[in-house]
Amino acid sequence: MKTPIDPKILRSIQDATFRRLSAKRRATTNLYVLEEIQPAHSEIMARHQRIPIKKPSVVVFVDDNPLANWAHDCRYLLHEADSGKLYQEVQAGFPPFLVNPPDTFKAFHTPLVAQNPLRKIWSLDQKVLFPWRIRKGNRYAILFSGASNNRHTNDLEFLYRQLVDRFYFDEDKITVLNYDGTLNYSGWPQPVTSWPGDGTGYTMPVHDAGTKQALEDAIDALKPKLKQDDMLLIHTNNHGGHNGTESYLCTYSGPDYNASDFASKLGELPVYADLIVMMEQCHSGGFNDGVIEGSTAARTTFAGACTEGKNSIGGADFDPFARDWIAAFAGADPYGSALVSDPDYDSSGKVSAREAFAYADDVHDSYDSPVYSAYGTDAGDQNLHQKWRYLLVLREFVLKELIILRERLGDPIEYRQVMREKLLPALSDLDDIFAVKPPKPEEAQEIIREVIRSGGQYQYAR
Amino acid sequence: MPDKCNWTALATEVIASLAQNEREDAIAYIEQRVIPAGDELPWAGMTRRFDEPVVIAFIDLEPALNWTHRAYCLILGIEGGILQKVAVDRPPFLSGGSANLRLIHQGSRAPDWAVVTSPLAR
Repeated sequence: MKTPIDPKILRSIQDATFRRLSAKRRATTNLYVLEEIQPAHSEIMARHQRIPIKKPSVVVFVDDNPLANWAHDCRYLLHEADSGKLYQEVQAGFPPFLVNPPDTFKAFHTPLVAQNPLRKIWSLDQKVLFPWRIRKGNRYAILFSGASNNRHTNDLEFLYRQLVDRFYFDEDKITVLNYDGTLNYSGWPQPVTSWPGDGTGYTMPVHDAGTKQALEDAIDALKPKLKQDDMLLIHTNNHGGHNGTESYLCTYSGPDYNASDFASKLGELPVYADLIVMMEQCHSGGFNDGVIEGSTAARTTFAGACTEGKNSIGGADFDPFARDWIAAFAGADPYGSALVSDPDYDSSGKVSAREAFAYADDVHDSYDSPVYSAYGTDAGDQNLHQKWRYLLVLREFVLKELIILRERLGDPIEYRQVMREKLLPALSDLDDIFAVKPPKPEEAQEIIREVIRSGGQYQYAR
Repeated sequence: MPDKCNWTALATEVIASLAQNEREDAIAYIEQRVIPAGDELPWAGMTRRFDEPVVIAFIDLEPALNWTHRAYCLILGIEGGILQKVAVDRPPFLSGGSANLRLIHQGSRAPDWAVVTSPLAR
């Protein structure tokens, strides 16, 4: 007669077993459980080794070398059936069943298996944690290269990789516009194969061609999205010219993009927090004034490879100014080599827009003439990291109410969805309101309770 | 049509026309096809027609720089002889080159990576 294990105790045993493994061992150790209570005075046979069970137990089998043939190192963990407490660990060389295991012998964590479909990774039962930090604003980026050569497309890829891999931008918030709407470019090397930084394939999706229309469409698409706390990074690359009156950005086809038109387009955006513009093309400095004046962001920085009247220099795989500006944020050059100095000049732990420019300026090719300006309070402190806001008011009470909500909802996925979409924004607003005008504790608790129990539907009016 | 021209001789004439500093810095290309008499030249910004068949060459004077920068085109008769020199600030291959464009000269100071097409077969 099988005696089932209390599900809560079983879960706690599985979690505890998993927690005892180091991160490295979690990737190389398979875990099994005998899903029935082993009675007192029974025994388990590990081939020829007797493992006596002295009291009602839950037995976890730990395979420390799953891909090796038996015999090899493994362990039996014996837990008290009524408390889940681990009371004995037995070293062995064989599993309890070499062939025909019973249904009650169940794998619950098997990172190493011969066949992929059997792979199973254990997820710890997450308790309700206090949501002390949430995103403050979204980050958007537009990467543009019109009449690209290989080096320009490579610059875009270098920046794209940093945004996604180092700064964790949402990929769907990055718009890449290159050449004919593909990874293609003019000139050699052909065909388009791999990014010269590390020799791997290009990772950036190209959303549209490098035309004025596509760039304006990308900016227009942000009009309904950009909010007060958001950041926008615009990088333009490839070639540029000067028509005697103003600078322009070369495009793949159709009209070039004049600096004044670009500034006007930026001026159509709603108010938002940060605009970072970095331009590589020739005569890019001619965009400086327009960007600063046209920007609707609270803080704007502009970095360009050269002054309005000058050209920018190219390179074999990358354009030097763009490469170095991006490398400052990356902490390494595109080939993975160390930088000539640490761009984090103020040792803040974060490279700012001002520091990225300063680094690129320090090491700039003698032909380039880098240009920088900033507008807005501490504008130069802009960086590419996600900004956060913190919930600090009445944290204990909030946590208590969240536990109630989670138990009421039952489904952890639904709980996370409600938290992400409704509750965190609502609590964040409350935090701002309470910081400005603190209510009495009882009143604050009542408001918080209403907000949480309504799943974020209740809107507190100031 | 190309076999009516002595492309090697035309390339040699273009190279010979380069000034000493141009010869060291520049990259020169020739469009290896004859533009028939009366046809508009096929390159953007070159809205010209000639009463005789011609060939065109392109001289990039600052190949290490991003465009726009100093460059010029030469229009030659198919028997040789430079008919016209036209200053331009962007190349015919800004958004993709012609399949007939051939390299005829790379100055000693011009970087390899700035070359955009294969050499003229001689």
